[in-house]
Amino acid sequence: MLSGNRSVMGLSLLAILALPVVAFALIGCGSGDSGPLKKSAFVEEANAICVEAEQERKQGTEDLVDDGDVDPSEEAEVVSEALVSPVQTMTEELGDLSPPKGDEKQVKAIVAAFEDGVAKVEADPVGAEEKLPFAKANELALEYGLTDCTI
Amino acid sequence: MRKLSGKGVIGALLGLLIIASSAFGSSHNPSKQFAQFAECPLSKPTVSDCVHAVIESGAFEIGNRSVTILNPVTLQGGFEGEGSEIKFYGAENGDTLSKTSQPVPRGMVGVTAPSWWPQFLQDWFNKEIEDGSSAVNATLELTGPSKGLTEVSLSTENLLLEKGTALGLPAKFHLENPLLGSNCYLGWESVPIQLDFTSSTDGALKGDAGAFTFNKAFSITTIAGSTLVTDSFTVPRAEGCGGIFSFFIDPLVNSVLDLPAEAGTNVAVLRGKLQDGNAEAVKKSE
Repeated sequence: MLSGNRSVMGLSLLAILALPVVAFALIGCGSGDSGPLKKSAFVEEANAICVEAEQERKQGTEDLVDDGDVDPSEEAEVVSEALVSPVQTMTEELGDLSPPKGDEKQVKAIVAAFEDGVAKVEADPVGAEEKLPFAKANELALEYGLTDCTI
Repeated sequence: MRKLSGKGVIGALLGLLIIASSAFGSSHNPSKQFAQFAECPLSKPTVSDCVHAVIESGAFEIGNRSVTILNPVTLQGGFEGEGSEIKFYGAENGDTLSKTSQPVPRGMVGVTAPSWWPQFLQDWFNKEIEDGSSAVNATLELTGPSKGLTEVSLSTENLLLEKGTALGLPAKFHLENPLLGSNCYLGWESVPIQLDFTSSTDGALKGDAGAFTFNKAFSITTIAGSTLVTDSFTVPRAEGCGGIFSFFIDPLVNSVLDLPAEAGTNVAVLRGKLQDGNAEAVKKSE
């Protein structure tokens, strides 16, 4: 009888201890955050993010054309909203991906280069283009296989 | 503290020189007549031949523009195998096809922003062109791996016998101008422009194998005065021009260059010299 109680208590204790582990694993699975991605999966996910950003930029271009004349005082804001914002979102989403093990520095450098480009374009949306704001980001992205991420 | 002897100092200096040479210089140090093969992929033991070619002149006619090769372009690497079974390995430092830019005649002189663009963009673009941002350079770049096994095809047999493809380059053209951004290309990694050059004829173009000579030891073959031609390549639309404004500027570039351009309407002619060095002899010369 005593041993039976002990085994029931033992099982209950085990269940209580296991609960957070199972819950953590389920939450982990649900969010897709299952640790570092393999390079091929990372490249695929990153390129998909970039293709989406490009589509948004294309839509932003069409919206700019449809809007017709933009008040010069609102020019920076309008361009930023239509064309820079998708790149900014893209950069943030790239930064949120779990980089492949051992490639953390390389991926961090790519994200930092895009952040730098976004900052330059935000500061001067039209004029910055001549300074090739995304040159470094493009170079690093291509080197890593992010062929759809160049701007 | 022990003082370094004279020999020790010389040894240390030599060591430093060797480190400096490999850090800043060429990948290999073949001597004298083999010096041009410094980037031969000798780290790949099966490579039997080192290649160093200099394209001294020629032209590309793409769409409605003709770009003359004014600045020499270098192709280097090495290969294993024979005949059509050759596998071409890129230069040890990855600089297989030198990224040498060539000026595009007229560039964007006289080009004005289309009226469908937002006014502020038209004003910016037109002002930049007026202020002198009209010069455009074009650089032929290799697609695919430039180190290790490449997608370059080379047949010295076809070159000498003036038949078939002598040199196949999967490539893209990088158009450079401050208004075009850093990512303005004709052809892409995933959709390259395939340039299959022949020393025979292609359409109205006539190639020439040139003349070949050997060194005394027959360890270097030089093919000089070659002309390689092709008109069998398609040039797709420009993409990625103008950074965040690419969806405005791409159509403008395509209209200026009259792209896409079908095969048969484009022309590429390369003239230059190719040297083939026996890899063993190159190694021994180090």
